[in-house]
Amino acid sequence: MEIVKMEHVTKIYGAGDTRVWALDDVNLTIDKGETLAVVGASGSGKSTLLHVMGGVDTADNGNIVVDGKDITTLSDDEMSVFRRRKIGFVFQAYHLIPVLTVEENIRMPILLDHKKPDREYIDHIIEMLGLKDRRKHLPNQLSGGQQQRAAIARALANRPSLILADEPTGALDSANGSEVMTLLHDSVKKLNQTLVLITHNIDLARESDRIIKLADGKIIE
Amino acid sequence: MGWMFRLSLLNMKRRRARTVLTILGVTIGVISIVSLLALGLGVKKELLSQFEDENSVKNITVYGSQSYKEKSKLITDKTLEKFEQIDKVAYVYPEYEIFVSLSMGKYMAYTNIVGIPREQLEKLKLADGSSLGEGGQKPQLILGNSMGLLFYNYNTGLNFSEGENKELTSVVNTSIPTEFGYGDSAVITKFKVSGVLYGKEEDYSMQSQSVFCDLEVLKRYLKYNANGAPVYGQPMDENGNTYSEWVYTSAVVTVNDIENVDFVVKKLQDMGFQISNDKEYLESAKREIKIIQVLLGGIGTIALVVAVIGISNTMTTSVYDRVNEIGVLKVIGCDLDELLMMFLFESGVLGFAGGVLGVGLSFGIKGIINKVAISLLGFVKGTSLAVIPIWLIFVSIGVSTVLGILAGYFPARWASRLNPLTAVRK
Ligand SMILES: Nc1ncnc2c1ncn2[C@@H]1O[C@H](COP(=O)(O)OP(=O)(O)OP(=O)(O)O)[C@@H](O)[C@H]1O
Ligand SMILES: [Mg+2]
Repeated sequence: MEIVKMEHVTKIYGAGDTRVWALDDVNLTIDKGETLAVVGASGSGKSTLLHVMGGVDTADNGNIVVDGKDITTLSDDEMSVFRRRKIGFVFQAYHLIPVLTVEENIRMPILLDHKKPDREYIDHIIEMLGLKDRRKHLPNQLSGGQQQRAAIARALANRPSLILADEPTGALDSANGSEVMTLLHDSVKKLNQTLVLITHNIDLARESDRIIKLADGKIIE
Repeated sequence: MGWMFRLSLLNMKRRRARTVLTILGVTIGVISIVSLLALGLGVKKELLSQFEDENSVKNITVYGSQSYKEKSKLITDKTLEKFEQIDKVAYVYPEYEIFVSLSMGKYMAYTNIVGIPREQLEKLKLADGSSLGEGGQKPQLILGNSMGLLFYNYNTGLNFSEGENKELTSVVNTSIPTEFGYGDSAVITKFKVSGVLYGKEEDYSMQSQSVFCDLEVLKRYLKYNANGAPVYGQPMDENGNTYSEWVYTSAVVTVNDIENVDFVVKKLQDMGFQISNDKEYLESAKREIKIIQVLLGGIGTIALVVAVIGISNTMTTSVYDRVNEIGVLKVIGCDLDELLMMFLFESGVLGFAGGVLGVGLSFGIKGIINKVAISLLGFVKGTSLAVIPIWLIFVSIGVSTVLGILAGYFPARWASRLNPLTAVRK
């Protein structure tokens, strides 16, 4: 069953001489439960692809259907609801909310959805990501690896249809990076999630079910 | 919903210094506006307390002439009838004043005794133990409540209230020496004090400094006393004889409605009479009050505007500081109106806290103003030159909260419209 279907998606930045085709007629289908690695040179459009797929940016052309929903027609408010229910983001810079504890950060997507967090499930992912004795800490009291694990837990919290990770290990040293990556892959598999992962590290990419490569906004393999 | 409040409170706590300074700015603004308004309200009360009540404004006092050269301006019963016939006049009564010296022991007062009709006497509010007295041979006196301050001991330089440890009412039902007239016709007699007007000694007014008695009794007594000679205080015609009719000192013309006072005043002046009426004073006092309030309010408003700019500035900085956090909240799917509300809540809290603190501290300032008024400006003890009514408390806190929210609106809207990608793309 396909969870993402992109057809002829185009995204153009700038105008006139500075015009950049960040995505150029991209067609892509991702199956449920699949892990997909996206590689490509800097500026090839990897992040843009993720943003458009996750509804933080809008495509200029084409159709994007996520979990049966055409997101190109959603209003801003509907897009917010879509993001918090269907998408879990993980960024290179963690982006935790500094005044909230680890546990509060993790529960945030559920609170934003006006729901009561499922304690058991939250405890489960906190344990899975090895944050059990860090749940009351503030983000700046954690190491980079721990912060990124908290960010992954937050991305999983609302049981989204799709986890989108943009170079999640980019800011970590290789030991920490591979630990986090292993945890991410394990969690995604255990919870039967779909993952799209941007990475520069070809070894990490190999752990995924499928790899696509971007160049100048086009999928080349 | 709860997360918004928690997040804004945590952020305010994290930026404690900035939060405190902003609240301080609002506090100062609220203090200035509340104390200045309190001062304005207090001054208004002081100024208006000179007028017994709004009804006294309906009374016009008409002064009669005492000279045969202006015969048409003497006030007699016929004149009173003419006054009664003026449109919009409710009723008219005459007054007869004689200048006397009164003494209570070593204390002397040079004053007028005002004779007014019995039914007007009955309208006076008397202190406990007082009565209007019976209409006997001699007039009985009703002393104004401030008279204790006007009886003076010329040896010690003290007035009755200072020198005697007694209430003025202690002289009720005693007879006090009374002297009037000049030279051969000077009369020394004793009048009984039957009562004292109700009210505090320091509540000055026209009434509180007057001595009243029954007009008919006074007339009868003066006629009897003159024994055929010209009556004390009555004017004489060009030949040196008194008039056949009684000539009053003045008349009080009461108008049916405040609105018609000007009309009746004009009529009376057209008839050539001198008049006095509180309406003009009341109006000029009210004008003064307006000016004072506008002035004080204006100064306070400037302080408050500065405070609002402070809130707006703080909120802008707060949004600027948290561009990243806002971006993250948006990326993970926060509702835009909730984000807006989070910032409005925050600026509302700043306004509210400043309002509460400001009003609280204003009570301290009010106390200082009143102390200064009493000790430096010589106001009577217990004077409230600054008053903070209950409504002012609630209105100030409400207004500063609402202004806080309004001040936060544009920064909040900016926050909710931020492109999440600018925060997240790095
Ligand atoms: N807001 C923007 N305004 C103008 N051009 C942009 C904007 N965002 C991205 N671009 C351009 O779009 C292209 C694709 O950018 P994108 O961020 O998707 O690349 P990337 O593959 O993620 O690169 P990297 O590996 O460096 O993160 C680049 O040429 C970039 O300069
Ligand atoms: Mg990128």
